Amino acid sequence: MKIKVFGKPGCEYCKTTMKKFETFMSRWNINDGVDLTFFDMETVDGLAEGAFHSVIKIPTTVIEKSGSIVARWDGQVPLSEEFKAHFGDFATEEVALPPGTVSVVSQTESV
Amino acid sequence: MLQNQLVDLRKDKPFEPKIKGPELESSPQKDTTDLSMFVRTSSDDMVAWNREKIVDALIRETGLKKEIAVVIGVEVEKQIKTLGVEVITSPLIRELVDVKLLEYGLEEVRRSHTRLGVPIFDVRRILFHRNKENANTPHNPVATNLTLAQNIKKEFALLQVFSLDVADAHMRGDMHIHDLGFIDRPYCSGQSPEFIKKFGLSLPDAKGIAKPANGPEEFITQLVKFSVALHGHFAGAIGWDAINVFVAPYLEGYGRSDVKRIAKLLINEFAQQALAGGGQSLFSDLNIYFEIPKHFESVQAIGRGGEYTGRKYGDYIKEAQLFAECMFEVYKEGDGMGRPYFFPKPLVHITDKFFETPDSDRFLYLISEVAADKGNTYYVFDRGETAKISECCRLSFKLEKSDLLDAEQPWKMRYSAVQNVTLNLPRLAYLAKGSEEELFKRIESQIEVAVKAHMQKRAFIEQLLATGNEGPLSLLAAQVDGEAYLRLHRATHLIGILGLNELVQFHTGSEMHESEEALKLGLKVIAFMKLKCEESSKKHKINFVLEQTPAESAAYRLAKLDMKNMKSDTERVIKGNGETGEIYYTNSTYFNVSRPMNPIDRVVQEGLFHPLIDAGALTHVWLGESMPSSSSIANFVIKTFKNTQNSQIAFSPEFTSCNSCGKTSRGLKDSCPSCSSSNVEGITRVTGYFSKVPGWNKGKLGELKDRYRSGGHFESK
Repeated sequence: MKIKVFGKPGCEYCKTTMKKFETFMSRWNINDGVDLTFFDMETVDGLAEGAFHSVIKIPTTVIEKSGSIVARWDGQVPLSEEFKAHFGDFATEEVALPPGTVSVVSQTESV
Repeated sequence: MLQNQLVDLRKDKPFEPKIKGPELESSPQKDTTDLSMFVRTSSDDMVAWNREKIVDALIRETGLKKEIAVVIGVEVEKQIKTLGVEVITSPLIRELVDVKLLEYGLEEVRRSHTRLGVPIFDVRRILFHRNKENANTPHNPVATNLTLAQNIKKEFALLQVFSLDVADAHMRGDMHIHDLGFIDRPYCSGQSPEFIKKFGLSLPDAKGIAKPANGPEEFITQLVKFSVALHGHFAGAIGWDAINVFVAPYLEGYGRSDVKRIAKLLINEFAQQALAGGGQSLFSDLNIYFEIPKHFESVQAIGRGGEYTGRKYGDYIKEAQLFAECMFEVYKEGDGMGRPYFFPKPLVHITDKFFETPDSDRFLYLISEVAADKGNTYYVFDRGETAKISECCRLSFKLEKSDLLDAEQPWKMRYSAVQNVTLNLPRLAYLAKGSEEELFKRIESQIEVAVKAHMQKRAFIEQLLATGNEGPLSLLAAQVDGEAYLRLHRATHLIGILGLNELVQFHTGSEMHESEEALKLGLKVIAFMKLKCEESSKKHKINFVLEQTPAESAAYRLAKLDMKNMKSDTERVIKGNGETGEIYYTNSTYFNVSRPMNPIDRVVQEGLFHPLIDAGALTHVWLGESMPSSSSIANFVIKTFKNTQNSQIAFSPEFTSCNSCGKTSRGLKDSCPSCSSSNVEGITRVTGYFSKVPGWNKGKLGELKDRYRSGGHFESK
């Protein structure tokens, strides 16, 4: 699973987003199988990857599993209740989906 | 040796051949009108030989030291003497002097002394055969004047405006400096009709001055005349912002039929300016909003006589909307033969506010009906807080926060591009030979040369502007509102893109539609170029931005050069038909035009590049002869706005126009379906504008044959 966080240096919300995922992964002892990457959109690689994912606002977070996008948050820091469920396969402890949580994927409009 | 030659010559008896043609001036002439009159004297005008005229010309034109100029003069005189001719032309003398300069290694001097011109053979060819470099150029005496003048200005540009390395980069085809024949003009411009409404019409050299208009008809007349004047001062398109909004105050109290009459006047006046600027149609763009744009809502409206009406533009929404609707009714009718109007191009801005505006669905349906039927409508997507003035084939000027402050005085909203320089991306891939590091190094290096070209063009334009009211750009230098019409501090310098698909194909083995890796490389290249533009902008304190170059001639020219000089590499990726010579590189960041793609996929994927291209981008939906329903087009537009980042789309049907019976039919045909005449011509979009297919160059003809027509993906009418 890949977690791609798009942002820029100096963007506090971008830092918060990265910190959140790092903390979460550390708490749940998630090391293998999940790749968390920050894409700096002031660099060529970051800007190009951001264009591929149509990133217009920062921070934007995209979660990919087996090449498909399963979740996405644009211009906001994701809530842990919203992304927790996607770590189910990788957490050392069971991650229960809180009642009433709506998958972000279903809220994403398809083109 | 030089001194001895001088002494020897003094001993010789001076000879006196007759000189035929313009006299070599012995004193400087400031007034080019006098020089021009000498050039026009009859060939029977004979003046006595005078070696001093060679010397004087060398000193005056090149700054050469007198003693050297004298030696050159002496030696040329001796040479002419040995020819034993009685009559000699001044052009031939000049050529002999140039050869002598070369013999002495005085190349720089020669470059300043050389004569520019066109061989007789080429003149005859130009007079008798159509120039197909630009499909907007007809074939008539005014147009051939333009072609001949452009040839000279092109040579001048490459010798005198651009340094040798820049000129060579263009000549080799490493890059393409657009519109060299218009070296003494900026590229394109976008402005507000408020300028005419407030100040009226006062053109340089005009015998009469018009006060601000008292009614819509008078305003339209002034607007079109000013557009024609601007067309003579820019190489490309003239764009007008929010035309329906600014016309609206004149229309208060008008009924629908009168508003339609005025809309028809506007469109026909622009459409029929056939002899503007050297026989070219007036390349004109009208930006249209169904809502009153936020930045104009609270602006005090100017009306009749250039006076404030006491109301704001937000109060004129009904008039503005009615005018926009009537414009599209005119577009739907087409011209006298039912053909689509080639110009002016209507660009409708689709914004968040558009969808919140009552009756916008009805307007969307109308403009989509026009898109399906005639293809005129351009849909410009301004998402979020973006505002643009769009024009040309896809150029747009994104309005920054400071520009929106100018919106309080809309006449100040004048934007232009000074020049476009397009990189030959496929060639950079050939030279990189598969190394990504080398590829990006070469792209960077070529951008630096392009930036240098821009700086040199800008410097030349600045020199011309500095001549002020007496100079050739007096219209642009005029300070009607306290600021030069051409606001150079706000001008952009375009770095154009050509053949990205072929670059990617050569480098990865796949075209952009064939693999994610290929697409991502394409995005990386454009991201790199964008960041380099930003670096250059900071460094040079002028605005460099990427543009999707229309590349009507460049796509063909650069492909031909590469086939000639790098055949084995080029053959692997070139598009078109090598046997017929109808070859081309894929335009800008487009996907292969022949790829059978669902149009929404094309819009989505090509749209991935659009946010990286600040000066404008466009995706074409080629319809062929199919006629989609208005609702399917409208739904497509809504999906594009809401679900993609695509900047602009246009739907392009194809037509056959019969010169025998005057009927226009759908699709490209060899004969008229009504009267069977073969005296027909095809019409469709060449790059971003409609034109007649017979006027297209070979590269565009090749592309036309390859285009995938996606009309079948839409529900039919």
